[in-house]
Amino acid sequence: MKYQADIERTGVAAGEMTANPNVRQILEEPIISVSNLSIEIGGHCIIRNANFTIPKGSGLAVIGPNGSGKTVLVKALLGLLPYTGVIRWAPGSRQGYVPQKILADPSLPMRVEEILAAKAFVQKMTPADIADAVAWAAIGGLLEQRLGALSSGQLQRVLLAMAMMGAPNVLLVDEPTASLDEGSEEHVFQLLETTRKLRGTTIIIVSHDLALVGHLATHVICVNAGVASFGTARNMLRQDVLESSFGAPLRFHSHNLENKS
Amino acid sequence: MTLTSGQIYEFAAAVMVAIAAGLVGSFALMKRMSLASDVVSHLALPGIGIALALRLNPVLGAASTLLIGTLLVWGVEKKTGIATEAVIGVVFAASLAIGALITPREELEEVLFGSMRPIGLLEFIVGCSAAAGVIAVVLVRRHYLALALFSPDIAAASGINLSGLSLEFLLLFSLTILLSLKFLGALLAGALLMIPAATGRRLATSLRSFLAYSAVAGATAVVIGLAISSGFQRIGASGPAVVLVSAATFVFASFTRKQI
Repeated sequence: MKYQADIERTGVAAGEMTANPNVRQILEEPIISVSNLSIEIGGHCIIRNANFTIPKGSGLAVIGPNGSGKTVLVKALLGLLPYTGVIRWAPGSRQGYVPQKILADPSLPMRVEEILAAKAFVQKMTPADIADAVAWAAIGGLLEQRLGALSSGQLQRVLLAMAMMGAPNVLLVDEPTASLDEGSEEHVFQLLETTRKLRGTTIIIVSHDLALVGHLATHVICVNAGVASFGTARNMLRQDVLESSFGAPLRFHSHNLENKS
Repeated sequence: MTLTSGQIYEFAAAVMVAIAAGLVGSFALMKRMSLASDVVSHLALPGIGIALALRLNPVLGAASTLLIGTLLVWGVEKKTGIATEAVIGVVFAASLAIGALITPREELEEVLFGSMRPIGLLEFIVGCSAAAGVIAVVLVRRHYLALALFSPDIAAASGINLSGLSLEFLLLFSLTILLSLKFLGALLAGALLMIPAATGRRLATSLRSFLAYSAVAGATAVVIGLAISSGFQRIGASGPAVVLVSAATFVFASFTRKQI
């Protein structure tokens, strides 16, 4: 099998990298390494043969045009979709997930505290886990609100709190600002960036908005027409690279891409 | 009026079943399963008809066709792209027709609309235990069901097997329909799940209060409904009285408080 050979080779390479004493251990130790990842849905190949490895504490931006398969890629990383190839999370990694779409009917008679308690129960977490996440996302004032009474910005913060319960070391966030006004957008990105810097949480963030993720990204995956191109933010967020990845000219405002750890 | 022990059993079992139906119905309502609830209850009909024709216990017949129906609904639910409503519509009408054809005429009214026929100790114990089991499982699993309703993606990422949970709920749902058949009959059994839940939803401000209101609304409807149908000898079947009381409670709740 072609895949098998590639997988073994990648495994050895990853081992060599972490065993090398010259490498800065904390920063370079991979949180996830993906090799030969292909995802097919309904006979259509959404992602073909993707390979990437990111270090712990990175900010990975998954960008690409609408409908290009960014959400599919993230769901596969979480094991929610079938795939071929290898996705290897570092031992002890725990993922928190903020999905893009919440199907919940806004008239569901559920309070914020009830849905937090439900998740805590399912994942065998304690009230302290809930309290920490509530404080982190600053949603203490929303606990007794009905879900339907929340603004989209408030709902987004509730979703972030749910993902952060149990203090995961990886946060996967799908289009967190799709329906937010600019102020809330800024707030969400600040929260994620602060969390990455202070706690060393790896952030994997899906966005079609390049300008926004430029702030946060140390690494970038650009998904387009089945191809997932990967690189560091400095290399990827260049006009020429982006245009060839997106397959069309686009406007991109560079936001101080230097100064990334 | 003094109650016989059979009537006391009947009332007590009905209250237990109504509480179970209120709880299961609350989640069924949130899952938008009103249509499926009718199909599932109608599927009991051919089973009862066959069992009566073969001189078997009608509960066994109902249980077997309900189980088949449950698996059918589950299968349809798993496959997207099938015209679910059309399938459900056909199955609904066909099972009603088959059931009506093969059920002996003298039994038909009771089978369709339920009866006040007092129950024995064994029926009481089996019915109450099954209802208590349903109540316990829904209460324990409510967190799983709530999370899956809120966001299937978050639920799956939290380790919930969505398909398994869905089957589990459908089985609870069918068992509750089976328990309701005695009191409401195959045509109206679905109503004991849906109407009290609709009432509860009008009144509720949280999941906890939703479940509580639905259970109370169900219990109230069966107690008053069964009392009315045993008080008036003219009324043979018990189902219509229970459903009417339940519907009246719903109307009353709608005026009491705006829907959230």
